[in-house]
Amino acid sequence: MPADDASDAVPDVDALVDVVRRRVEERRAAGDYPDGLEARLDAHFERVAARRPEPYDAGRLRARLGAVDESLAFDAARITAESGVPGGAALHRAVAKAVSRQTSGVLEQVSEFARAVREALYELAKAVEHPFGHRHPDLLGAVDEALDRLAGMERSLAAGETVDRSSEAARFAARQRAGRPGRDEWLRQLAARFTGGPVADLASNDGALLSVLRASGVDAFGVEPEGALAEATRAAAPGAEVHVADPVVWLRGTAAGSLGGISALAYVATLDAGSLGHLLRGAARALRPGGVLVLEAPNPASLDALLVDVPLDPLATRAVHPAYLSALAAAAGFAGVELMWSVTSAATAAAVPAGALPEPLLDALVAPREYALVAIR
Amino acid sequence: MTVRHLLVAAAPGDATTASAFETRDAAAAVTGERGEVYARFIDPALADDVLPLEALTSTAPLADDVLVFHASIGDPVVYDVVAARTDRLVVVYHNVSPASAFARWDPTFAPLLAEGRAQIAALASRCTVAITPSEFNAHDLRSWNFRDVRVVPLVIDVARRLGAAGGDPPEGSPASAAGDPLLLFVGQLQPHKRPELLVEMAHILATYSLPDAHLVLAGAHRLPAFVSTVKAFAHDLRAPVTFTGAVDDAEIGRLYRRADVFVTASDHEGFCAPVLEAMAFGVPVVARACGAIREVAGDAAVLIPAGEGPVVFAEAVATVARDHAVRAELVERGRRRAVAFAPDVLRRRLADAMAEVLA
Repeated sequence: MPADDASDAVPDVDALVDVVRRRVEERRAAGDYPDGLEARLDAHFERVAARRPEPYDAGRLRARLGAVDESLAFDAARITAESGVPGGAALHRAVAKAVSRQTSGVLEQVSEFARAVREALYELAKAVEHPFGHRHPDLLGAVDEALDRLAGMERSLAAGETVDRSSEAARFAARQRAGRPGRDEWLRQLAARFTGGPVADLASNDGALLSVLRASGVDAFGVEPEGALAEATRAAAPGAEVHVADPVVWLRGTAAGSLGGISALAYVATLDAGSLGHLLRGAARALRPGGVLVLEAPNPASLDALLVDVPLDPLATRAVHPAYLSALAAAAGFAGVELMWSVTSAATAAAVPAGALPEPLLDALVAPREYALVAIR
Repeated sequence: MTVRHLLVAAAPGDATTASAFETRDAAAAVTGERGEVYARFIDPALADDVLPLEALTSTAPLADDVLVFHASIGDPVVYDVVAARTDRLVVVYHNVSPASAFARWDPTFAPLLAEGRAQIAALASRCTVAITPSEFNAHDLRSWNFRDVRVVPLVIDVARRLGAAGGDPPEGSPASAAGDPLLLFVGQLQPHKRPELLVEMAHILATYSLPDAHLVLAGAHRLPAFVSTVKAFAHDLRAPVTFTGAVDDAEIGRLYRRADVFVTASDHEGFCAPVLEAMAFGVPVVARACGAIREVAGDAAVLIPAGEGPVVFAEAVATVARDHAVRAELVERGRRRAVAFAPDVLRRRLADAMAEVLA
């Protein structure tokens, strides 16, 4: 519980609202609260409410059924005999009289059909209106039960945020990345971004980055959910501390402002949108001011990354666009967000004759396979 | 004399149902006969305690019999039964949620609420005594020309209902939610409870004052269109809010134990039992001064005038959370208030009232 305003005097609780009002005015004057904050929030709630689908107004259906009722009075007398031709009206009346029996017969059949249609429409209307009008507790209970189940699932997700990460799958993914030309240099570039420790290397996997970090003199340790991989990390980075824990959950339990840096290789591609948000917010909380966050990921602008790296990584669910990751980092409170790119595929570029491919396709072929978000807390 | 008790719907944990049982026990102490409770809709968990409406309609009352009707919602079938009976009628009025708050979210349900008020008002001429837990409710009854209106607060037995749970919350429990401070609201998420104002308050509090603040909204979701809108709103704001849905009494007890501040922004409350529950658990209360909340909370809560917005609400919560002296004073006042509303005290008041009514 924060306690920065504690005082020993017995407070005048009855006057508290006045005190609070004055404090709000002072903070508004100091610019702590933006002008129009409450009005903007209210307006946003109205916008959210306006987006929801409007329930169907059963009155419209009843109005149309009323129109059916009004037109049901079939009668030969309603058939006009008027005519613009001299003597035409008399002719119409004479013909009508001559065929009156047939006309009545037709009208009776039409009336019978119309009554049957009307009854069917009313039955349909009842069936349609029923879900709106039926307010039996069982129905409410069923809705409530469904909502409760959803709430339970949401709670589980919020509490868990874990990635199903088998050690075999993670080893396989790491093997695909290891040994690529330029890979070691890329890891050294990432490690060079850290200015002070301790640095937590999340989902440290086979220890590829952690070993480079420590070799560069950075005070770094690993966080790896799989026990077998934690051992692999320790083997790659002898002497390094490695926590066996889900990185997102581990971050939530880390003291605020206790880290100098956070790194993760290819980890963001394994997270769903909600967990990605938790990761960035947790990182923002755990890093001290000036702390550095480095998140490496497959580059969605690279065909190699999209067609090879992501599909070959059993844990990856998607390539996260750097613009989206940057926006998430900014929203989580990071300043100085920038992007780094691994080397372009010079060999591929050289192998393609000039002008043989449209420029956008060539760009996708030679684009860096990885990028890294670098953000300062 | 046989005293029968009737309500529209009986369910465990429901305040009206609990009141019906308390009133039945108080009446039994007077007559020496345990009267039955009847309802049209009965939760299966209460099948042994509550008889169906048909069992009431099949009994012809004697001249000195009494029907105690607990009115909290409209229902034409039940009201027709009440209107047709000849036994002396006592109405226990628990208030009806305002239809205007629901019109936008459920145009079918809103008219039922309006009809419910009209149905209760129509009982005025038949009713000999009306009992209600607050002056706020009594005002409704008098405006409908009920003649003899008596205010007897609801019996809230916190220890019996919520006191059993102890120890650490189980995994996944909303009571284990991070939050410093943890703000708690208990009640159904309905439009007149104004949960969207609490979401705004939590957003403002976390953004401008206490970044680790977290709000738990604990209560059943009865109105999907409204709840999904409030959830979408909270999501858009990235407000630190957990929606628990319906939770059992043990979980409510754990939440009260974990909470740092109880908050409610409700526009309309006929009594608001959660305010007293929070006070009994030593949780300071910050509420909007609407409905019966001022009567129930007395001087033991920070009451935000209805015209103030979520910024003042958030600043008040921040003050209560941060200032130990303010917090301690509110907790102490709350405990005194909870003692004044202790179940044995209120049971005696209810028993006295029933003794007068049935004399």
